[in-house]
Amino acid sequence: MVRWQSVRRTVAELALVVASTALMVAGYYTISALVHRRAGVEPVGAQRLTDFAPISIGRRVTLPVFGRSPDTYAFVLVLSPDCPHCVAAAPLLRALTEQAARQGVRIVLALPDKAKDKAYAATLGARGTSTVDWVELGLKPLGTPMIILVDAGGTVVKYWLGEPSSATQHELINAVAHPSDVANYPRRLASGQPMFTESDLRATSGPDSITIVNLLERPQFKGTRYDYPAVNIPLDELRFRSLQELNPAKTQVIDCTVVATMVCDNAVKELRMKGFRAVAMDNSGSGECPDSAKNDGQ
Amino acid sequence: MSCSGLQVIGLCALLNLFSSLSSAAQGDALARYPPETLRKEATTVVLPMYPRSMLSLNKGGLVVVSVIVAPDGHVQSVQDLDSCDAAALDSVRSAVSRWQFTAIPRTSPFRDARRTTKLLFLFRLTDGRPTVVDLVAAEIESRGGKLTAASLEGGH
Repeated sequence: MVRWQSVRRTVAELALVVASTALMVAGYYTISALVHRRAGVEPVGAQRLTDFAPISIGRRVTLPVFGRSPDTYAFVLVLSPDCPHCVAAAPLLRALTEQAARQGVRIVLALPDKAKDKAYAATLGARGTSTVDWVELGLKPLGTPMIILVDAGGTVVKYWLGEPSSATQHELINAVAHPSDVANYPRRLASGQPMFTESDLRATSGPDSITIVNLLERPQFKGTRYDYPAVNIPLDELRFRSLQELNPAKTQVIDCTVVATMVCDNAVKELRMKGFRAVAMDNSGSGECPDSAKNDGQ
Repeated sequence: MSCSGLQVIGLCALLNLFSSLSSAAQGDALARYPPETLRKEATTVVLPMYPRSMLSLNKGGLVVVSVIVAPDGHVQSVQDLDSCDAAALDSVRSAVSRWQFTAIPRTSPFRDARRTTKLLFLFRLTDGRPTVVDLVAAEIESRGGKLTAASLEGGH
């Protein structure tokens, strides 16, 4: 009898240990998932934003074809509940939405999770004719808030990144009224200097006299190609590597298509401070390369 | 089984749960530092050796690694980002894993945070003489900044 009781006791203890371990493991994974979600990290197996190329002028977002005519444009508002600048941009977003409704221009809201974040977008006054998840864009947003003008085929014509200044707000309202006028509007550095386009470069420089500097991180750069000699130096490595790797006899052309204007401005300043001839390029005409051939800029 | 035995097991289960919750919450605390900022906090620095295999080929190049530093200042991991040569990468890994950084004070709210940054090393032959340049340190010094530790030659 005593032996039977002892067996029962051992079984009960074992059951408790198993239950407590199961509870511990479940708790760990639940909290891990919450922490990852809070940090914006997708769980393993899901489609990840890092798999996509960054949004840049000339690339196409995978939105439905809007076009009844080539003049049909849409504005994509990329927002996130974690973005304080989105709150600051709320009056502009509201004004843009109203202006777009008057003009018959489509607004697409792009949110990290459209099911959960749609109510948040509504609190900002941003209402879209349709709403998509970020991953549905097929390209990675460079930050938030990001306002992207796309043409009828989904090609990015221009984008505005970060909390808009009063000048940018004015420009955006005009862009909603006359989107087709925006296409050839040159971006400018903070210093006021206009950025080069690839056609400007072609007209003024031979391939031997320039090196294109791409500031993206290595995984994002992978697959990017240029018609000119190019080198990939991530932005945070530029100040360390420029003197070692760039040829001072050449003009260094920073590809600003893939980075915010302020970042581009800093990169140009950094190189000029080190004695290089540096210019900014807005429309690189870069495209996807099936193999990850890296161009050597030297 | 006595009632107190059951209570002990239950308490252990709860403690386990809380410790796992806390480790899950803290495990991802990784603070990204600009290279100069964390490099200035290095207290022990060992420079990589120039690999013989590269010397015999008259070869130079760049190695970029991402380093993760534990809260107590020791190097937890060295990850390859870009390397010109496998032997150069091994040399960098071996040297950098011996670096020490200042520990985060126990009173800091970030005492459990791990820190990460990039380190860049240039393997260069100047007039046939091999040199390994710590590019981040060189940049700090060129701007008049001060380093906590002097670099020790030869990591092996």
